[in-house]
Amino acid sequence: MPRLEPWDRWLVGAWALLAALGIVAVASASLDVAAVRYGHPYAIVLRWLGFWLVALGALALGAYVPPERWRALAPVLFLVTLLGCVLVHAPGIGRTANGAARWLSIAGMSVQPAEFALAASVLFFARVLERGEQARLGPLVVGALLLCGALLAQPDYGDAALVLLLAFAMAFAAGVAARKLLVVAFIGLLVLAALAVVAPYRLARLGSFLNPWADRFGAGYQLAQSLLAFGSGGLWGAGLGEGVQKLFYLPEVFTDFIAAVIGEEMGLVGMGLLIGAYFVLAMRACAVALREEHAFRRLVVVGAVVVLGTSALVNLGVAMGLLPTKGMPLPFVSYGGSALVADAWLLGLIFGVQRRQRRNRPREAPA
Amino acid sequence: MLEPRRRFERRLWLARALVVGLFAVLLAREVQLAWMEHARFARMAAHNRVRLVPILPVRGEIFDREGRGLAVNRTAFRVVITPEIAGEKAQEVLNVVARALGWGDARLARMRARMARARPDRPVLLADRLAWGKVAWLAARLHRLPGLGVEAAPYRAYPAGPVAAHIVGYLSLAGPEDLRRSYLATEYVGRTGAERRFEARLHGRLGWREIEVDARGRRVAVLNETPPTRGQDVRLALDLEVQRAAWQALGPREGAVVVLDVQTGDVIAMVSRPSFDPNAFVGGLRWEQWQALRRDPRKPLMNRAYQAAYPPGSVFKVITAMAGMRAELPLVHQRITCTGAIHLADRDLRCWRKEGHGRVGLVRALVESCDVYFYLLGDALGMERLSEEAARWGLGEKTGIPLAGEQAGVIPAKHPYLTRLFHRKLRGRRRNWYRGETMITAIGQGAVTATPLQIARLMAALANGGKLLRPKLALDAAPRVMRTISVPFGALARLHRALRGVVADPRGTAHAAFLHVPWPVAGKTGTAEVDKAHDVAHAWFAGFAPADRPRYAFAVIVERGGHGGAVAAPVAAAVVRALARMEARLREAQR
Repeated sequence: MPRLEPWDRWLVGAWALLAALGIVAVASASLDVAAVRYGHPYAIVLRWLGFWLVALGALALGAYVPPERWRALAPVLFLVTLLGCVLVHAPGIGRTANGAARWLSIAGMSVQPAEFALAASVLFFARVLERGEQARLGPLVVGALLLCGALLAQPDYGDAALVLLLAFAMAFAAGVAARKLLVVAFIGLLVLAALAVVAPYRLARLGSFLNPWADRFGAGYQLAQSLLAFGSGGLWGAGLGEGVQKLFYLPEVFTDFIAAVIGEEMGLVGMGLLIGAYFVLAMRACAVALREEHAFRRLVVVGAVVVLGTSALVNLGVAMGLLPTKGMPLPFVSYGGSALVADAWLLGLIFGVQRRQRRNRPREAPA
Repeated sequence: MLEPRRRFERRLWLARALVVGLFAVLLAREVQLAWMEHARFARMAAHNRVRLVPILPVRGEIFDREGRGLAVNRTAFRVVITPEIAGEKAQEVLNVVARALGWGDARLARMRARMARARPDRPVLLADRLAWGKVAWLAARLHRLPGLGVEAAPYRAYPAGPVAAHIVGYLSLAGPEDLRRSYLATEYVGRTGAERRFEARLHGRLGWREIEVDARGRRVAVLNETPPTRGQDVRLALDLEVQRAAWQALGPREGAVVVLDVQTGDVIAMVSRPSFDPNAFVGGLRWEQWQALRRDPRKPLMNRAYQAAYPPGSVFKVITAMAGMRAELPLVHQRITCTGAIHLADRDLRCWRKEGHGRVGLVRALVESCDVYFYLLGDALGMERLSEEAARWGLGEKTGIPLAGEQAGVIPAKHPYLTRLFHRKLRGRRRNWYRGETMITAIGQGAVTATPLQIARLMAALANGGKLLRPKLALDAAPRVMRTISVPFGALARLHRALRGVVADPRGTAHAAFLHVPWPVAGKTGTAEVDKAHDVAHAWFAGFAPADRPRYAFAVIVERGGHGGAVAAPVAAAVVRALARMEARLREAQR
């Protein structure tokens, strides 16, 4: 095992900040709900901390297993997770909630295979695209469309769109010719447009985000409550645990709308830290990718950044009323075990690449 | 073609710029929300916390003096559907309901539309005020009809219907004016009669439920609940049986009957015809129905007992007689000869009996209602003393009955020329008619008008020794004497004798009507001319019973009915019989 470089301080710092913000926010948001739902105020926080232990393991796995080993495993991982995304419909192990089949019951735990499928896609797409311009795009297109189809069937429109975006972004980064990219992008847009026509209620949902106050207690309720949370936070916030929106006004508050809790309780300062942490994470990972000579490793980092960054941007954009309501987790912050473990693994992959890089400092032997 | 490494670098720089831009937008949005619009959102969030949901109280009920229901709460059933629970089966459920309730296609379509518009988590009202028989079939199948609910809901019913419609009154949904008085839009408010008079007592106190709501406005938890307080019941002095007897005796004619307790001022009956059915108001009248009621020339909404003033006709002679005795005019101890008319200036003032009454004194003139005697008495008194006497007995002033829209009636001013100025009816007449005006006022014609309630109260005061009462509706309210009228010694006894004679004397104007009543009755007929040319007159009869120990005073008017003795007196006789039955029942109940 070669000697590894130290962990990048900026990446670790941003990640630790996100972890801290997330744990505090989940704790604050869930105490009352957990007391009502499970009869124990710490029920959700303790589970969240448990997930974090697993996530640390996944991070270590991503960081210490050499990228080349992952490269070898990529097709298998992709197929297994793709199968998982299909098996959610299977009776016995699939679990349906809120009209969507998104969960697998494995050994008593609910797992959301889509999150792992996204992470596996990063590896698989990177392997397909590693030869750059000469890469054969067939497996990429087929893989992306298969996974996309499986996710649409759940239905999970958000992650389906993210798969398409990921494939496009990685192909772009890999240096695929612009002409080919435009064709791919056009097909992707056609698919999305067709979906909007087939399922017109999605358009209604689109409308409600533009003016949530028009139907404040109907379709716009969640967003209106979220905006109230951000708006009432002010500069310093209401103080930890002092927010009221989480008290049943804002549904799913510790999952998709956790940012609203941070906005309300920690105000502009807390949100500045949160946004800043993601920004640092994204920029620093880009720097890692730029330094990397090895195409596969480079693409893995780019893919991981796309998944984590898009997730964060979409989640925050939705919570602040900039994007139509779309459930997407806030990486490392919003409550959800599968997403946390998968995201930690992706971050681990970034660290794995970063720690195997020769630093550009001069390697003169002092003596 | 660029070298791959260079291309990667260039594209990643592009991506980085995009990332910077997107995060900048996010941060800007956060600054906008949390800083620039902070004040507005903070205010809105404060309103957001707890929602107060009112719980309507049950309205108190109104009973008559013997405990019969006049305005009661009945339970009907309503059918509601909660679209969210019904889900995909909503249309199916709706079809079953339509079949069970016998809806046509139009109604079904309307309900579909209503359901589509409604909030899916709130029950939608499909049908209201249904009898159990109609909903029983549905109620038994609720387990197979998701989202459907059959609920019991109270509604107001008036068992007596039009018989006591005016005095009991009716309710209607709160309007803009009531909303300013902190009523809720879903509440009913007493509009007329006792429902309005006792609104504060009947209404009860709202209860409140503090609730928290979740994403779809659904209730998550009840934080606190203040239960509503049921309104108090009100027992009226009214006796429904007496009321009904008066109603039936009046028949389809227009008119009014008032019965008062002479000691307490209790309103025992107050009938006004034509009437309306207050039950029709409960579900809300259609606009055309309301307009038809309002525009009806017979004015069914008006309570003629105190909202209409009529010339009292010969009933007024008791005032003239009392004024004469108070003034100790020689005429009250003398007899005159009635020849059927007296001559004044260029006109004849006629007695109603063309052949004349012959020799009559005060008592006989009242018994036989001789006009000529009272022309002379009025002439001797003059307008001033006549007006004063009328005012003393409460004419021309509101009785103070606690109901809205009371008319005061008119007594001519002390000086006839002022009367002329203020009463259009007299304007333009020849100036030398002053004396004649006084003389026709003395027999209750001309400008003087009074409400049946005023006349009944006048009779009560004559019966109880001069106590002018304020009429009251509630049985438990304390009686109120407005003032005690001083009466010259012996005058009341003389009047009583005269009024008893009207009924008891074979030549009395109301003798025939009272042949079959259990009590001795005293009273005075009145025939107030409205249209001399066509011989149209309001028929009056007012008096008290039993004559020897008076307990009840009454006034009856039949609009354009004809002669008081022939038309109004039989109605009064029916009332007296009903009063006697009522006393018998009350005695029975006490035993």
